[in-house]
Amino acid sequence: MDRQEGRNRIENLRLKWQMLVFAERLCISLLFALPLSAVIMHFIGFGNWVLLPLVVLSFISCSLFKPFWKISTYDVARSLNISHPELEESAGLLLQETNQLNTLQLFQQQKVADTLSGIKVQILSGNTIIRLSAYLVTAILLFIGIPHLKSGSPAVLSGSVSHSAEGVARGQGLPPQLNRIQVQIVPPAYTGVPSRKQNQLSIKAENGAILRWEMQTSIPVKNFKFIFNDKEKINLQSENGEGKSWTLSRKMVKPGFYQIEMDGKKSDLYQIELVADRPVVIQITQPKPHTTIDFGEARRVNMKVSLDDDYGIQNAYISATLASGKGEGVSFTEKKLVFNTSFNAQKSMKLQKELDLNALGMKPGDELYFFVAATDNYGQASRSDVYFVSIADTTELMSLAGMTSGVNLVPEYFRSQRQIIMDTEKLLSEQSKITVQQFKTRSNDLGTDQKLLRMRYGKFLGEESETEIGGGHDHDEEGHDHEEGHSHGKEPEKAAAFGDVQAIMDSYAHKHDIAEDATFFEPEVKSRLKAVLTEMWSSELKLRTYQPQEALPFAYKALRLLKDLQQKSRAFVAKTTVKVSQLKEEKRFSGELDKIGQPVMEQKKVKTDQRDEVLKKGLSYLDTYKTASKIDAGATANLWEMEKYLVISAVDHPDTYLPALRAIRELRSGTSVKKPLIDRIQKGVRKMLEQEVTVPQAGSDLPSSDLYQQYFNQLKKDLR
Amino acid sequence: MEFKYIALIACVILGIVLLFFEYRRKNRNNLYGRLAATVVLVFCLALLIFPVQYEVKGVSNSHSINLLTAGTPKDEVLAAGIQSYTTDPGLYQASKKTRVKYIADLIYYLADHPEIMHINIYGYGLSAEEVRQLNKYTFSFHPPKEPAGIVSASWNNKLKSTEFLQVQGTFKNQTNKTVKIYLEGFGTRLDSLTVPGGNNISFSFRDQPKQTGLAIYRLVAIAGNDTIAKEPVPFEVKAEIPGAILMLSSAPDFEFKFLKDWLFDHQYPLMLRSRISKDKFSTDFLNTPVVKLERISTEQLQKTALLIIDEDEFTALSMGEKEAVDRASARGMGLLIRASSGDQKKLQEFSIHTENVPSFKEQEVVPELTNNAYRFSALPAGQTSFIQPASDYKMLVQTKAGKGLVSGRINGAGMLLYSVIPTTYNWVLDGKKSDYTIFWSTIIAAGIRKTTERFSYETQTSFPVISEKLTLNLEVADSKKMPQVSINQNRWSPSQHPQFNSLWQVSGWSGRAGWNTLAVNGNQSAFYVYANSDWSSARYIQRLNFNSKLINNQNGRASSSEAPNFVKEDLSLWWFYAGFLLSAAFLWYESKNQEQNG
Repeated sequence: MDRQEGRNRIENLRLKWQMLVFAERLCISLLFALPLSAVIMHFIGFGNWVLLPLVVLSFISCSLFKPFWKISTYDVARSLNISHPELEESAGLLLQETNQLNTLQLFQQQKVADTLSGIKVQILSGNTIIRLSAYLVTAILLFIGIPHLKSGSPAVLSGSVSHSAEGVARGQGLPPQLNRIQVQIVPPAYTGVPSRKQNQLSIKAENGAILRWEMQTSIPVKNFKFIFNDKEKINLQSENGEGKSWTLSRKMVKPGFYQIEMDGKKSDLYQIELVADRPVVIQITQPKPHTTIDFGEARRVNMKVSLDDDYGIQNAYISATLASGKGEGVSFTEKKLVFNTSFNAQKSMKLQKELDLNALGMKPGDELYFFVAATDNYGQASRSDVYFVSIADTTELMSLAGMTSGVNLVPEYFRSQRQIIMDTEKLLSEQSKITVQQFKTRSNDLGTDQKLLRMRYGKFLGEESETEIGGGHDHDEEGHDHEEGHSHGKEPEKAAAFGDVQAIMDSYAHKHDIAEDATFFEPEVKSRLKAVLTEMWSSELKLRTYQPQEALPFAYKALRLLKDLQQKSRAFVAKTTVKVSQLKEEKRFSGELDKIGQPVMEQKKVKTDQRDEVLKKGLSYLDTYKTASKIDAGATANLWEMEKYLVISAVDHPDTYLPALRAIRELRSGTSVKKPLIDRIQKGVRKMLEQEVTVPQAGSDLPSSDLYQQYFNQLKKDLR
Repeated sequence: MEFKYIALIACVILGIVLLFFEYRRKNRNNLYGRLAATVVLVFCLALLIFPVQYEVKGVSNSHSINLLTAGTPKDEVLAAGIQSYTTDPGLYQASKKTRVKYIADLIYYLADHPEIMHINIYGYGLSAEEVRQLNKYTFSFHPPKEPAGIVSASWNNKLKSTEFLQVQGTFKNQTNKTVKIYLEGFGTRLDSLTVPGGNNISFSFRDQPKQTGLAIYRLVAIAGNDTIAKEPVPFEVKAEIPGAILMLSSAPDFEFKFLKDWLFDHQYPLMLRSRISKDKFSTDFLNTPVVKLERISTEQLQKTALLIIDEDEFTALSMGEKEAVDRASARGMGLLIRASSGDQKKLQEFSIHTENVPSFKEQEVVPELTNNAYRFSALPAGQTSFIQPASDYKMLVQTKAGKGLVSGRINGAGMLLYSVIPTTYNWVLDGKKSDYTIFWSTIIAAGIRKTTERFSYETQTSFPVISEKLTLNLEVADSKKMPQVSINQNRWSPSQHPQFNSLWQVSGWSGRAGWNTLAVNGNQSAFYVYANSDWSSARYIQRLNFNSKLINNQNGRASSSEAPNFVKEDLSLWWFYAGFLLSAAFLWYESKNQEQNG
């Protein structure tokens, strides 16, 4: 390789190097220019054109810092000398004219030229490629990524990272001067709920909680106000007179909303929702609302109560009222029974108590009314429904009062049941005086009596008796010409009507009525009768097995049920003693009435409350306003009127109506995006209007009904 | 002589002359070739003057035009490669690359091309207004597949307060996705329905609007996250108090007292006269001025919208009064007679028949509305008389078993109602206030005198669109003079119906989508003009049906699209020119060749 070739090679390398540096500068300048232009375009709002000048500008400044055009062949030679020691620091010789060199230099030149041809020079290394592409990728990623960041987020612009909770608060349309907000909620002590802090201005707190707002502004504010429910204004004093730190404490007993005013600039509306304390929920699981204790049953009632409250139960007791006596002689005694447990402000309790009716002084025929009352730790009292316990009065059952008079639809068999009870009691009292055999015989006899009685009642239900005792004559009375022995065809006198096919068929057919339908009782009476029969069965069983003591409760119950049945089916007509003289028909309406005046009444119903009309019209005006650019003065007045009613509703139910109120304020401030706001207002107003009942409305007739009327008259005339 | 014959004769002469010269040529070479060439030459010349025409079976010719309208499937006509026209700029834009030509004004274009006698319509068709102007043309119609979505809808757009808005229609779901349709109003979803994929479903939404005045609800259909349709449902609610109610009672009783209180609570004007002794009355005037009511006068009845009277009081009316009541009833006043005695004699005048069922005395009665089978709570026992069905009476309320309780018939312009229910106030006492309200609302609404409107209007099409000509049909009460009609404060001139003097028509361009105000003789109202995109499916279906009907009705002058359509076409003149040139060249070359040889 001669000198010229080596020189060309170096020239060649210089070009390559220049291009590499050019590319590198371009990448670096893009790395600066692309993100910068993205920020400018997105946050400041410049157009896309900003990209080009920025790129050019940064490229020029980059290049000035390391000018690629100034790279000379000598630079290349120097670089070759550094990277390739075998060139013996003599690459520069190749660039010199041959005639200016001495012999040694010529030799060296020749040698270097040969060496140079033998080495492989690599300008573009793998590292460089990776580095440049990293620059490029970073630049493009930043350029694409920046517009996706939240617009207007101060964190991005200022570069500082703000507290995340504050970010939430800012989302609620907070005045920009406020840079720190903290709301402390101290629930009332009785709730046992610990105090808590939040950064949001919309508050949900316990009723009676103390709210403490702590706020800091970035710049001094002269006037700092809280406006509660749109009418109550509270001026705040700044803590150290600097006008930057503000606090307010307030006990909340009413829900509503508030807004903050700083130097005349009002914030959005924020709701205060209060959770009211619920009274204790009382549930009595045992006994049933009406309990009757029959003869022989234990006179005690087991009570099971469950209590529930949201913060704690303070106390609970049973209030029992005992009613004893009859008619005018009823006397009431009230007693307070306590549960034998302590109430440690528990939220849920299950209580149990046994009411000893004897200890309460209850006698047969008495009634006990009781309810459970409880108070929660806020002092709210609540009580359960009233429950009844009564002890059946056996003596009352034995009395004949009410049976001797009035219409008696049920036959007079009650006496028998009474008789059986009396006989049983007599037997029991004489038990010690008689022999066991006698006792058993008498008990068995009583059982037989009970059976007979049962069968007689069974007949009312259409039951068939298994023997003829007491049943036969009834069958005859009813004209039922067929006996239990199935004596078909054995009675020739009955078959006398010869040729009467029906009669013959009847005598052969086992013709029963359907048992269930055979009687003339209503289903309810029937079911009661069945219950009586069941009791009688049990009574009979005990008597037959010589246990008259055990039979008594059943006998009593049967008697009580029978008595109820009798009372049910009785019609009561009060006696009247007034006698009315006969009217003389001819004298009716013949009196002189000319001096008698005629009553005339006049009334006008004027609706004083315009609320519904205002809201109804407002709904329609708003709907028109969705598309119209402006609305007329009347409609505007109506909308502001509507706002007043919205404020009233929002105070009571901020969570429901505050969005609508906020929207109407925003609408008033004049905004271009009306539709979502109007939708929100309409939604709220629609809720404020209750569902109406349909009232009669007249239909509409067409305007030219005169024509039809004429036609009708003509038709009528023609018909005549 | 026609040019045709002159030319023909000239050609024949030319042919003979040429043949003669060719035949007479000394050099007899190629004689037959030359003769043949001469014949071909002259023949081609003649055919150049009179081109050959032949008949082809085709759709397009110079006497018909292919008109593309909205909804034309892109591939249908264009694939056939036939020259088509459209008046729809949107369609033209969409198919610009193809051979579709745009006609700005169809009528003008047709007037310019009198040879066109037939129009082939593609797509959903022409509007009624366009068709009306094209009555001398014949049509053939090539409808596309029916559009999907909300294909029909209707609602009661004029309501009175507390009445229900009922939106009914059909939704056609051609996709396999489930579509949810809902009625939206005042920022709230009011009623909704789901349509499974591939189904056609009739929907019926109901809501009691709470506003007074104009409002627009929206009928929205969504499939997944895509809103398929969002159509406006404009309507108006008017607050109106009907005319006065007059109640005449033979004795003060609870039924009238409760009814009076209930009506008074709802601000109805009413008068109640109860007979307390012979010719002595106790009278109540509620929301009305005091007038003399001892005798019922015709003037009084003219002001009355509904007269409620019990049978005893009706019998006690004098003949003159009865006559006045009958006349007023025929002129539109409602008349409700309360009769529970079942006394047939008292009812003779009304030709109504009742049956007495004493066994019912102990049973409770459960009334039921006949029109929507609403069942009321039971009324106490005591009902013994029931109305028997009759041909001219319509039953309004009956028992569960179908025994008539309230019945009514038309008497002239008015309604005569007859009720045998003794008491209804028990509902109020039992706390069943809604039953009481529904019962009396139904009865009174059925009977009460209709209010006569000052004017009424109807748009010609059910969905008037901004881009189409608007036609309003008006009915005006005062037919003596021309009504003053203004729309959006601009005067429009109406034209009168040739037969009915109360009917008028205005037409023109409203120029405003949304609510338009309409004033007739100073009385205000409003109608809605839809944007072009609103209710497109429903409107296209209407248009399709209209156009199909139009084609079916053009009997007599019709040529239907199915009949083969023969078109004359010219054979290309180039063929003859080529023949002419070839034969002439042969003759020329042949003579030149012979000369050289010779």
